[in-house]
Amino acid sequence: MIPEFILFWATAAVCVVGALGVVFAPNVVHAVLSLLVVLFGIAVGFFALGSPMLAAMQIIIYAGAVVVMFLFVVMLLDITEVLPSLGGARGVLAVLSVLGAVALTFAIVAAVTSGGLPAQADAPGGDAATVGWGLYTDHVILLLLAAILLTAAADGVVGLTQRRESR
Amino acid sequence: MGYDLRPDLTWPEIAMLMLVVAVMFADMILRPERRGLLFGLSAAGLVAIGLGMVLSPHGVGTAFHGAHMADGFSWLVKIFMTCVLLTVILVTWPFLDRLRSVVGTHLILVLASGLGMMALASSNSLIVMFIALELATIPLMILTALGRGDSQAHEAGLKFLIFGAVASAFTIFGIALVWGYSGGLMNLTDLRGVVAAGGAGLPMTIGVVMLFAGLAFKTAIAPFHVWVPDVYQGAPTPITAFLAGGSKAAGFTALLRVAVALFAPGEGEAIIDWPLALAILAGLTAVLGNMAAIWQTDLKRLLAHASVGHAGFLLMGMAVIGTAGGLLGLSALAYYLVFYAAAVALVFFCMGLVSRAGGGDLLSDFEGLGRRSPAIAAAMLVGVLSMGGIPPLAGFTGKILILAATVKGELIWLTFIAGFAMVLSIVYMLMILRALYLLPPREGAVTGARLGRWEGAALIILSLLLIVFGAVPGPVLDPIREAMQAMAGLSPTEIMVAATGG
Amino acid sequence: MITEITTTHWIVLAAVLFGIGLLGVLARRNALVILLSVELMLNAANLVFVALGHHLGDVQGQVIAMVVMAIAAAEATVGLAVIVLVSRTCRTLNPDELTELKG
Repeated sequence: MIPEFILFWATAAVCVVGALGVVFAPNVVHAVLSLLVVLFGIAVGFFALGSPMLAAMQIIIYAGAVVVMFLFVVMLLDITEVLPSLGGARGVLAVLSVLGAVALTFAIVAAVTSGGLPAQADAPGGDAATVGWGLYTDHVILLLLAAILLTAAADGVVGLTQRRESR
Repeated sequence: MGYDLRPDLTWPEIAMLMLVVAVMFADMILRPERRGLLFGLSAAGLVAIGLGMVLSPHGVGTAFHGAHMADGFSWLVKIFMTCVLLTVILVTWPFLDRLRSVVGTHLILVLASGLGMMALASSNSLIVMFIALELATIPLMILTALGRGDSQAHEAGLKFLIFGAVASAFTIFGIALVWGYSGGLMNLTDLRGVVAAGGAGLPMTIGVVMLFAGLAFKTAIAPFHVWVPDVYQGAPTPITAFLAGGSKAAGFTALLRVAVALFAPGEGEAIIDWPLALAILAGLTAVLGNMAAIWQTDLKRLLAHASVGHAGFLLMGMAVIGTAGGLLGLSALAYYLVFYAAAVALVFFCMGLVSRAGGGDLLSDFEGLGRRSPAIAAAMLVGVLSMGGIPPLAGFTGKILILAATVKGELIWLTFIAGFAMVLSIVYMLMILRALYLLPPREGAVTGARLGRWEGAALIILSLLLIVFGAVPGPVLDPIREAMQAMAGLSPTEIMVAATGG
Repeated sequence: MITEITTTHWIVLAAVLFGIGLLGVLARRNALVILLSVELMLNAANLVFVALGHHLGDVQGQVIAMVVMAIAAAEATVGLAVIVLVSRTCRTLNPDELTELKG
């Protein structure tokens, strides 16, 4: 059994390095692969936080579907056409962006480290049965709304591409 | 345990869901040339749902374990949303030929977005609010890019998508903090108790700020309004009308529920003085929006900036929450929103008719419309006068009600800013009037845009709505006031205000 | 602080990831990278939900995280579809270079 603190710091390091890779990678493919690293890191985090079910979903849905979709689109687009616009903000704008992001992060960190966390309780189960029970009974409205959203979005995306063929 | 579906309270949403599915199936079955029938199906379904809601007494209670709240307020909003959806479908009618094979998709997305807005009106849980907001917004992003085959619409869709996605990331992170640091509370009625008892610590406050930032993006409150002009200009005209009328109303409904629960001052020292913050943002939004509108040459872009200005006025009605003007402010907000949406529908419908006849969206394309198509120009005149705030039209009544609420809430400086914004809005109104009636038509301008019988009737009904209920606001204002009192009455501060004759 | 890991540690990690995502949104000029950064921000929110759910003993956190995954997937799908359309018609993915819509 790995001590918890080693697990946390390893996960944190992997996630932060991966996240910086997403933002600063000069090549879109590298950015997508960096996101994959972050997603795996977060999956480990979910596992450490007693949610094996979510950890599995994270890898199946994100790594298996979303990231592959991103890669597919990167390959589909003509990368040489898109590359010139890969640059970042310059000058004052870049400084402001960094300042804004850092300020927000510090505000959140300062707030959450100031305490105020409610009392700790026994961890809930994190297996498929527990999560599924919550999803299909108490929180079924979330499932319903998400289902409509996914259906409508799928129909819309088909419409977006279909129109091109008819022209 | 269990679903706690409560069909007696949630039937409008269930009926909408069935309508979406019905249109989806009809779209698959019908032959392409018969797809015009889908309009009839959607409109008939909406009329049935709307009539059902008007005729049946509204239930009061919660469904889905407190996540869904049915009350007089949400009932009114849902009736209003049904009307907005009907008008959007109406405004889409002139574009039928242009939509061709995507008519079905278009209607499905409009209805799904409307379903999201209705769920939003009833959401009593932050996470349901988030998902309903996504359901209302994501179809709109697709609709923006879907309408026309040109790069403008795609560009507008991309900008809308990027801003919308960032806004939802902020919202969900804020919700996570609020939920966790309140000890696992998601329902607004529970959170209201925590805030009123002064239990909102620093982490929860920053969560509320992030939640507000996300909602401010969607309602186009300055300084989060930068995406509005580009998206409104690039989107197809009916979708611009939907964005300006329906989407804004839905955003404000969510903001209203959040404001009543989380912004009202509680016991002890609040970390952020929300009413003051809202008042400052409201003044800023109203002035910035109306000021920018004056410099525009594209009518859609002008109306986009104007809609930011209107959002400022609406926010003023919210800024007086918790003061003596609270109830009046909330009622004025709802009244303003309803007739702003009607004016938007009227103006955009006229623009759609002109555009169908081959005209463009530039202000110069409307020069001399009074001589070319007198009927359309007259209807547009009513809509623009109402937006500019000329008595006795409903836009004027709404603005006066907001001003009265700020006076009553003792925010006199805000009253002056609102007055200044009103003057600015008269300037851009005069610009449109000058184009419509004073300037001669350009050479080669479209003459005599066709006007069908039903289209004429729709123009007359919308114009009459603005004139009659502007002069006699009572029949609309009274039910709104009752519903607002019932909703806000749940909060201790509002009960206090109501009891002291507010 | 280093050897004893609390819930706050996880939330701080999530805040840092959110901040890096925001930096990507603000500083990068490519729609694809911005979309990737937004995914990063949504994942940070999920981490907060799971960490606090673990802390509070509430399974709701995990349920919500799962629904947020679905929403993120929908957003990514729509985003990618629009990006493909734009890259075909405009030949650029830099929002600043898309200047057809100006007053």
